[in-house]
Amino acid sequence: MNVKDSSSHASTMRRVVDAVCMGVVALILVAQFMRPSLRDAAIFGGLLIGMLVGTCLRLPMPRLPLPASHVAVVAVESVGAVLLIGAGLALVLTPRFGVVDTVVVTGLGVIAGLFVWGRRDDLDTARNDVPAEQREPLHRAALAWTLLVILLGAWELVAFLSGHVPTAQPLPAISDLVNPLIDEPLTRAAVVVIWLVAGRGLARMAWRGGS
Amino acid sequence: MSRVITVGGYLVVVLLGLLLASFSRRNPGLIAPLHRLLSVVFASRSARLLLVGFWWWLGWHFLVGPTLV
Repeated sequence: MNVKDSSSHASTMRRVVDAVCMGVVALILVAQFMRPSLRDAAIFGGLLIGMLVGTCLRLPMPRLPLPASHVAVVAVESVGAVLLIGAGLALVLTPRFGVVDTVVVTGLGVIAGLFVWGRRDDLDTARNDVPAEQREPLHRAALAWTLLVILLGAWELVAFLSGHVPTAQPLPAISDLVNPLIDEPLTRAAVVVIWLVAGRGLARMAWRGGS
Repeated sequence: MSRVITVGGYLVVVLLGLLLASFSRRNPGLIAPLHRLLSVVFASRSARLLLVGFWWWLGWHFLVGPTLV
């Protein structure tokens, strides 16, 4: 494969990834309309618009100059750890669905959004940097995780549709199973910790990639 | 009974995810570990928006917006 072919393939891959991501968000958007939850639909609508602006239109948007030096990274990680502990305590100790929860979750979303948007869109480079012997394992991993997500989505869809068939017994969706757990203080604390740790990992990955 | 089957289905998916994560960590030459996959996928802004956006929405869904009303 010559350089031109490789570059063309990489650009094709970038377009495919963009299209798949936007397709997934569009599907979730439709599902939120069907629930119906216009508020959640608006959230995913905003996400879809962000993708369109950031990927399809490739408009010049302001980017956050993410810290890269060792000292800056340590400083950001330290401040982040303090913020996460504070956020966790607030989410666990204050009433669920209250003003504090709204402020904390919204604030975390803004911070995560800065990390997501701040880094360049450089999938072509990342793909070209993958050693040849690691590409097949990466493709297999992408396929396996995608199939798992599709399986989960299909199962959730069956549960959702069962609630709309008059003669069928409604099956529990994930929300129906998780909600009672969050009403209990201990399990709520566990769910909050898992959510915050996952978010820290994703934001860190969005900021620094695999480094 | 249907409820048991439904919950069992969710648990099977979770179990498959744990098995996949464990297998890929032990056999990176066959299936790349999840962190390696994400390090490549996250170079795409749309993928970052999708995954981080969905993560954030889960928090919103369960902690801010009542889900069963």
